[in-house]
Amino acid sequence: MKTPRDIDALLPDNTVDAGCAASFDVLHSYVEEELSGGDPATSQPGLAAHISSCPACREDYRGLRDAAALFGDAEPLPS
Amino acid sequence: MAALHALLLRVARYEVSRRAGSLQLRGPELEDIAQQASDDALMAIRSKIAGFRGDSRFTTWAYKFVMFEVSTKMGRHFWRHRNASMDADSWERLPDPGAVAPDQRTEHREIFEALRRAIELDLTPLQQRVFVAVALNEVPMDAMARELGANRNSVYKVLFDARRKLRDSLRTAGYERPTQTSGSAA
Repeated sequence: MKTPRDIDALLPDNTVDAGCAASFDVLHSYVEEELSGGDPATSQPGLAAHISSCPACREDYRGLRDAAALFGDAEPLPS
Repeated sequence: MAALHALLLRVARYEVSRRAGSLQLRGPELEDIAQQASDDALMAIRSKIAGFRGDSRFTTWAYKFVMFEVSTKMGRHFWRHRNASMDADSWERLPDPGAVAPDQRTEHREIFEALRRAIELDLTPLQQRVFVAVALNEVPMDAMARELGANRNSVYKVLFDARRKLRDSLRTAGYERPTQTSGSAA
């Protein structure tokens, strides 16, 4: 018997989930690759799996993606 | 540093506004959160700047600390505006069998009954609490972490293990799709 799609949303089945801490470490490079037209889901599958399953990190990802797109070219580097 | 802080504050205000709808927060509270998040993000950046490897724009690296601080601080505010019993209405969050096509309702009802049993019988009390709150009631994980005196990573680990156990339970009950994962969610 197949399961309804709702179950897939409640119980995502990820085999390479990187977890919150490891994902945070590389979230910036994931977003940067996406904004430059790359495919970070392929190059960083552990993070892609994680943000599909973790609501908190998914919101951080969405916020960072928006912020980097809107404010990414603002400087400065700290002196 | 003043210029960087001003930039972080600008990003924090944007992010707080983006997330505000889910928390029913008002202007002064939102500004407080943005101020605190930008202050703490700047402290985190200063302490971790040696770890910036140049694998993105500096701003993108820096902004992720703003995201984390905004999320953490909004999680603290969650319980002020959400005092409903997390257990009372949680089962109502399971999808309504009436929402699916008539010929699938029996199957739909059966699997969700199996899921209810698995939640009640197969999860530990902590796993039940986290799964019901986060997966069914959409409690932010940072709010749950604060409630439990834990951090986001540890809450996610509990959620990850609960989901794996529930998938195993459904598979044992004869439902095809759920399969055991090899992931660690470290």
